[in-house]
Amino acid sequence: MTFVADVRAVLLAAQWFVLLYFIAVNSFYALLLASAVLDLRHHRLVTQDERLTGLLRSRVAPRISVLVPAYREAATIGESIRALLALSYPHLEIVIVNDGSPDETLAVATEQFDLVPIHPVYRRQIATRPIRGLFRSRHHPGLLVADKENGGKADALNAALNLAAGELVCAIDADTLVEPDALMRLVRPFLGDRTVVVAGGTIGVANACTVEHGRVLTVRMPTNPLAGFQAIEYLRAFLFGRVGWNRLGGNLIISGAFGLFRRSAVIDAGGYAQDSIGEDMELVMRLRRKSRERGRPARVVFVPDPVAWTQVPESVAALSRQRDRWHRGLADSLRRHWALLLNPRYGALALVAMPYFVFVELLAPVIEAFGLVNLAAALTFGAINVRFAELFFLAAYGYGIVLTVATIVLEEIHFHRYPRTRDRALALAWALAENCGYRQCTVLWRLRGIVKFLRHRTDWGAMPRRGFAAPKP
Amino acid sequence: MVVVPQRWVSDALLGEIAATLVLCAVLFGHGWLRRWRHGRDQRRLAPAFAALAPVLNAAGAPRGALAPVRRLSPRLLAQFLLQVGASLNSAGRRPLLSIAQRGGLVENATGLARSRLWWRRLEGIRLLRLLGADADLLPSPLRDRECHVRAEAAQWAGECPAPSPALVGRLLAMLADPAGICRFRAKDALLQMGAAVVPELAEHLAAGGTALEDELEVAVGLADPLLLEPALHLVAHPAPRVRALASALLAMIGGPRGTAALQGALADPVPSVRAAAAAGLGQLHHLAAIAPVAQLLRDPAWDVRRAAAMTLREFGPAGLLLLRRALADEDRFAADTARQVLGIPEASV
Repeated sequence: MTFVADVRAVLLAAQWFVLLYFIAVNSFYALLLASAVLDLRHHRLVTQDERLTGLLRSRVAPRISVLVPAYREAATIGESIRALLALSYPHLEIVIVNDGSPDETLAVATEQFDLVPIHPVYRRQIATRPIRGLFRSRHHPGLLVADKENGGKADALNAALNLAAGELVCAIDADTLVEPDALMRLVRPFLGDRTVVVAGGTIGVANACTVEHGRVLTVRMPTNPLAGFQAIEYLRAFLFGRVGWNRLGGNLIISGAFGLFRRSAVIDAGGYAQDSIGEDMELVMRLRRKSRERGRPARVVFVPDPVAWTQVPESVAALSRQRDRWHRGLADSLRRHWALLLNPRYGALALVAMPYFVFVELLAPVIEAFGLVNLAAALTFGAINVRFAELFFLAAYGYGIVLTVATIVLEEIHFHRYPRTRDRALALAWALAENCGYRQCTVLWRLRGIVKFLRHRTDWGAMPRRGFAAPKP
Repeated sequence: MVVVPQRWVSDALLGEIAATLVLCAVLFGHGWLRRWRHGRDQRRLAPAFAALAPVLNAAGAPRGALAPVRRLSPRLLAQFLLQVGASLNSAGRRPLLSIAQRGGLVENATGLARSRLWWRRLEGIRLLRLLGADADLLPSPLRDRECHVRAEAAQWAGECPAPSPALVGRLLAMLADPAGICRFRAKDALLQMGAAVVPELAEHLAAGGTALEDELEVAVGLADPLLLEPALHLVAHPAPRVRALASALLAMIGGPRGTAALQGALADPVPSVRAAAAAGLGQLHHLAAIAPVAQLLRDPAWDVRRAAAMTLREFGPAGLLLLRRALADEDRFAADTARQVLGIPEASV
């Protein structure tokens, strides 16, 4: 009897802990959402009726080099480069790095853009795998293509950094479609402010969108459930996650798919870490850390209105590999900068942002999985009753649904990217349904990522590329 | 077993359902309202667009032709004029300004520009600028307490066809503004204004101040001979970046005194200044400096070696000869720089 009573007590205490954890986490999300509402309102007041075309005539707008690492991108490289060439920005350079692709990536680019070999003078400030050849387009002088030995994404980005001539560099993935005016919006924080070192924009899910000549023509909410759940996750992550952190001083992640960096700061910090899985987050953490150590401010800003579109995995296998890798990347980045945690010398980075990323982003799948298992055990042993279980689900999932629907409303009010009622209804349906299996799967995949991290696994897994949808006739 | 009050569960559930329903109502309601408004606005704007075309084409519109335009509300009128104006040049926008004046829009915008709320002031200034209104309000908004209003006013000032010295002076003062966006817009506006800025700028450069670097960047963009004296003075300034920018300015202006100063700057202790001086001499094709520039191929700083090598290439056959000789230099950095500039693959050397 005493043993059973002790077990019940332990299960009960554990369940209370998990319940309070979810209440605290969701309440923090509510705080982020409130911060995002204020930031978006301010952003809207500043940018209302703004005409970005004035920047096109500017003689002092900073030069931007768009860096694109490409590996096995033969299916999409043509469209991607065309979209980049159509970007509206006055002083633009595009640097494509073919990272030893075994497919026809370089051949496709050479044929479609009439590339010729060149021998520019540049400084190899960061060591990379050897470059086999450099090419410039005869018809588009701002397009530079480098062919190098395979060394991974970080190595390709570092090679592009060495070659870039711009004051600012925009790292994007080869399969990302950037909206034409996105750079003019993303550059805003840098104008006249040398303390800004990184700015990130929003990534949207392109799976159900129609794309023509490298541009997203119509935006649609995916009908495929996996893609739909991810569309909701992206909205949540960017629209309230990243925007909310602007006012709390803690943006630690700027997506590698679409981010603008001050080139000198990145080179000064040593470029992208080659042995890291989450090189984008690791770089941002390193930039902020070095800036504090040197007593020089380094702001990381998220700008909500510039948008880049990407394909998300529609198969469970590809998605599980992606989430596993992202979580390993998160764990790896946090481990590298573990010394910052709760160290007052590093300000909000160490006292707010890092604790959040450790105890919420990193450990949430562990606590959630434990909570579900403990819930079943507690019910079985009679430590809790059904009412407690109902309260648990309301705190863990119900509260989260409310915050997600609030995010969808924020998107509608501020950006209205999904004009059809059907798309908004679909978004709502995915927000409600994501907790019925999808969320639990992501918990398992992230747990697997943690296990692999602890076992020192660094592989990426294959990510199949489909190409973008042609418009329907 | 812990007993959780039923009320907690039912309150939480009701609260979440109520919040979700309210949010859904906002989500769909906002979307439908926006679509309804858009449809209504398009129905009102269509006759206005049709009425405006003959006026803009100077086809002699009959009296009362602009009645559909005059019937638009101030909000729609602003939207209409801004939409039309976006595809016209400044000459084409003049008829729009008179429509805006007759429609009371300019007066509304001027009133907004004096509001207590910063976003209304920003809206007013922006509207006046986009309509191409006379900048009678300036330079007062250039001193606004809100940085975005000041920045917008600076952008407007840059579009003034005949800026007054007071306006130029105010923009030059804005180069020291605490807000980066204001400094950027002021710099841009000064460059847009062109030669009108030069006398005031020369005075500011001669007087020195906290915004010397930004002022020099403007000066480099204008490259007026009146700026030679301040440049010659500033090439000996204690701050390295000022010296580098002054060298860049001398390279744009040229002349015997300029090239002499640039040759002197080749011996500057700071690499960025030496690099700027070397690049400047290449820009001016000052062959007399070929020997001191060639010596910089052995400079310890990469930027200086590169600038020197590029300059030698600019000098033509004489410079190329020195570069080819440098391929055999015992200083391997000098040899490598020469190889890169000559476009010779690494394995060939």
